[in-house]
Amino acid sequence: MKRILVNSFVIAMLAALLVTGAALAQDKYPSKPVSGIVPASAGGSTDLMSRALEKVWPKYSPQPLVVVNKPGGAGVVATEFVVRSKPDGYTLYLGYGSGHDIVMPHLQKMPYDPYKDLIPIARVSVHSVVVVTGAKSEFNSLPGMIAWAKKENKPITTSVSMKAGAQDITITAIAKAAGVNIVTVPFAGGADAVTALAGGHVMLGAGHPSEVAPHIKAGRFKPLAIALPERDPSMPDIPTLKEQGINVSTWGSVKGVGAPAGTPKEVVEYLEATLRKICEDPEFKKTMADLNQPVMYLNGADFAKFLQEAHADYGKLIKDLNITIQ
Amino acid sequence: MSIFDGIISGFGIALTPMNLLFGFLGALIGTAVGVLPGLGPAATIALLLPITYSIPSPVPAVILMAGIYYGAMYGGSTTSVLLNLPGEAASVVTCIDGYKMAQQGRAGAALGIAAIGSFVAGTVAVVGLTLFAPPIAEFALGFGPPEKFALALLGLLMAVTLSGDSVVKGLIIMVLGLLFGTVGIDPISGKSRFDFGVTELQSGFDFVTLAVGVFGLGEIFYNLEQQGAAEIVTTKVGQVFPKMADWTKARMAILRGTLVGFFIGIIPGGGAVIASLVSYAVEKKVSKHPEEFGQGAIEGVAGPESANNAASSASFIPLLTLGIPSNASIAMIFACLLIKGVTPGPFLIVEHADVFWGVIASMYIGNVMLIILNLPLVGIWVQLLRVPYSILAPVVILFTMIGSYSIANQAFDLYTLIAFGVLGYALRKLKFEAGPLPLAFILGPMIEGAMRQSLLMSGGSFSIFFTRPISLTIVALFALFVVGQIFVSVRRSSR
Amino acid sequence: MSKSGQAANLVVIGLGIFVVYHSYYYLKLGILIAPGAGFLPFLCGLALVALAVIWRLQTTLLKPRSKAGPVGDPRTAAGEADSAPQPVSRVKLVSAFATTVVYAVLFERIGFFPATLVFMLAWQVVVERQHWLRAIVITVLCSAGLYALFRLLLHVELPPNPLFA
Repeated sequence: MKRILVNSFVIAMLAALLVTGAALAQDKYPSKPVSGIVPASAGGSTDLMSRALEKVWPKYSPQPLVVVNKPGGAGVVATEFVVRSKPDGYTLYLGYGSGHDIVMPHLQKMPYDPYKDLIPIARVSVHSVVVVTGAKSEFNSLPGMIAWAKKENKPITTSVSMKAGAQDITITAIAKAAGVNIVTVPFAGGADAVTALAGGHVMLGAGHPSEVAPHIKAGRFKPLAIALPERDPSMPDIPTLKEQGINVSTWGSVKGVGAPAGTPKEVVEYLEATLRKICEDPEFKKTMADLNQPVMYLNGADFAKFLQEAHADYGKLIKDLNITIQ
Repeated sequence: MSIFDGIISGFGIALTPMNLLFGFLGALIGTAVGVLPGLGPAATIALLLPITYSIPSPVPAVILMAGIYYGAMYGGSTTSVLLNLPGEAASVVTCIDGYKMAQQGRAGAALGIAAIGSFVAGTVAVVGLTLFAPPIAEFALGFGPPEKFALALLGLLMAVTLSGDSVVKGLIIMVLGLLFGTVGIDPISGKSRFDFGVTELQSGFDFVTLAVGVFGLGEIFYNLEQQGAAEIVTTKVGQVFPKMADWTKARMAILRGTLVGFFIGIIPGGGAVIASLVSYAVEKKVSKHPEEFGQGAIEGVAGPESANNAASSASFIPLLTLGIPSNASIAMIFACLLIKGVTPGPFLIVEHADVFWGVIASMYIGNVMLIILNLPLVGIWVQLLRVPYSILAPVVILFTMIGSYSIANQAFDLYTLIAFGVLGYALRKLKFEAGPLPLAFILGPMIEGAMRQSLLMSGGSFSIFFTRPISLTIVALFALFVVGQIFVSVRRSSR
Repeated sequence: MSKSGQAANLVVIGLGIFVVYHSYYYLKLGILIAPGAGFLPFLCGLALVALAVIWRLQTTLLKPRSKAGPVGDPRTAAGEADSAPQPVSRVKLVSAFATTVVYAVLFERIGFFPATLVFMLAWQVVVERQHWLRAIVITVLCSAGLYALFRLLLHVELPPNPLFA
């Protein structure tokens, strides 16, 4: 019995070698497919950006990019996986700059340092937060609604996709800047939040362009403001909050590419150059525009600076607004 | 888009080669799992969920899943009649008279009437779905958090109390499902619950892992322990087209079963299993010869088999219009839609008209495919019962493993899967009905979230549940149902 | 109530108590008009304890009553088909369970395909006691089939063998 087991194990291993074999000689990077780890499940905005990258990637690199979704632990599992992987450039982090990199470290302990343990390679896109109201709403501007709430001394109910997420922070910041009472009602994801606004169950809503754009186009929502320092190039008609006298701008939902610390310099340079070429590619730009995720390329050094600033700014904002998850 | 335009465009979508292929695969796999005892439609859809990642568009994915669900309703009768073993839960009652008929050498008639009844009921129910879903979807936008809370709670409690024989055991499973649903980050407070410092648990348990573990792995562990598989009593099927006498008897039973099934399918918490049970009771009650039931009455096969098909198609109505799944299999399809980036709810019919009309049209086609698969070809399905368990069991386990792993690409889920497998095995051993577990798991966060959202909206006042007309109606129904249940159980125990 | 039923009953009660404790002290209940993260789990914990006690009472108090339902009750008929006394095989169950756990352990460590070979072979030889030749044939065919289905046809990402990746 034991012998049979040992024998069969050897046979099994040999068979395994034969099938999975054919290891390639490793010389110049990249000599095998590159895995891109996505900290979200398929179908979300980060996944859609990664799939767009995956599609255009082979045009500029001899080896393909393979997207692997690891949505575990609200994204933390994916980042940790990249941080702990071999720093050889074959494991990349797609979506670097997400909420769990720049917001969450202020609210809870992370199993790694999102800045020291990762090298920023490039920023690909910034996805803004759009403030909207239902088409049937009596208000046509945010200041109008705020004036009403102040006069009537009533709270403005607002649907957001989750507690302490980008939308929740944006709306809370608006409430503070305007000195008005806004109650954020968190839902389990953007789609549910949007449906509640469309049904007229809340007065105001906030969402990423990909979530609200179809409803704006269908005439169910009126866009009121965009929470970025400048207008979003994919929705240029929507004014920023600052233009309307509300001194709030956020960093949006940042999507960049990172690699584990210790990745060789020439590999990082190669990837940076490849991503720059992809970000200039018309096909990629078109796909991203369709997804309402405008391409906003930054090189590694600038992206690193951007991340530091955004991280520090969110720290201040969260402290000012007294947002906690405890 | 009018309903007429919608269904025409739907046929345009459903008749593309790719969608036809997936519809056919769904019918084929559905019939197969319906035939194989132990593997029900819920577990199969769960097993195939991860595969939908590699299907490029949501339409074929949902066509496939839907086909498995209603296809299993066709196949389920085969083992009930031939083996006295229900192929899946909704064919339990078919065993009683179907098996008797097989013993009397009328297996063919039983299988034939089951397939014809299924076809009639399935098609009528899809017509109902076509006509009623669009107006309900328009109405459904009025369903805010308070209405969702009331409806989901009502549906969950109805599903638990109506299925299975012990209400207490059903409630225990329901509460367990609710608790599993709370694990991970709570969207309303942002706090991570019951994660015990494990990062992987912050996203909560995955629905697929839970469902596949409890239904798939648990079932296999349970079966392995049982020595000796069931023997086929008769492989001789005989004439499958019913004789005139059988037909006249069964005609009205099919119609009644269709109506009963359709209405039970629409109610949240209803579904194929309950529909077939109710239909059997109805048939026995209206029959002029109730003594024939249990002795091979063809109405006892025709009614329930029609009812479970009508109910399975009708239960797509609450899913596609309100985004509220009413039973375990529909809960799987709910998950499948989410994976494909389609949120079930009032907007599905507008935002994803291709999914809505394409899937409905595919159901008309699927029913035609199924009657062909099940009437002339029933003999082939009987052969399927001969695949040795020594191959079937490990291959199914590998499917569960690969499926769970590929959702989040983490080995951690394999251990959760095994843990849920052990739970499923234990529930089976202790004769607990596992159905409420996945349903409560999906509806729990919906109920909890909706309640807290309602209170945030109203500034903490519970009056929000009673001042809104739809919410008030549902609350009233709910109260009526609870009072009725108590009344029934008091009467039963005093007898 | 059977021994396993009693054990399960105690497990449910224990779980309920733990959940009540954990949600009260760590998750916090909030107030009734603004329930906190621990509110629903707290209620669930209480419900588990209460339901387990009722379950226990039901099975001990209602025991003498005849179990048979009304004739022709579909549920009893199904129950009978299900609970026909059959000899049970603990060895098979335990070995199958162990093989499955080993598979989970090996899956990421040695890669999908090698792990599948080991699993199928162990299943045929240890769990099902098949002849070794038959075992090897089944192992190779099934593993290759699964590899073809998931990797080649469906392009599912599965862990490669670390020796070659």
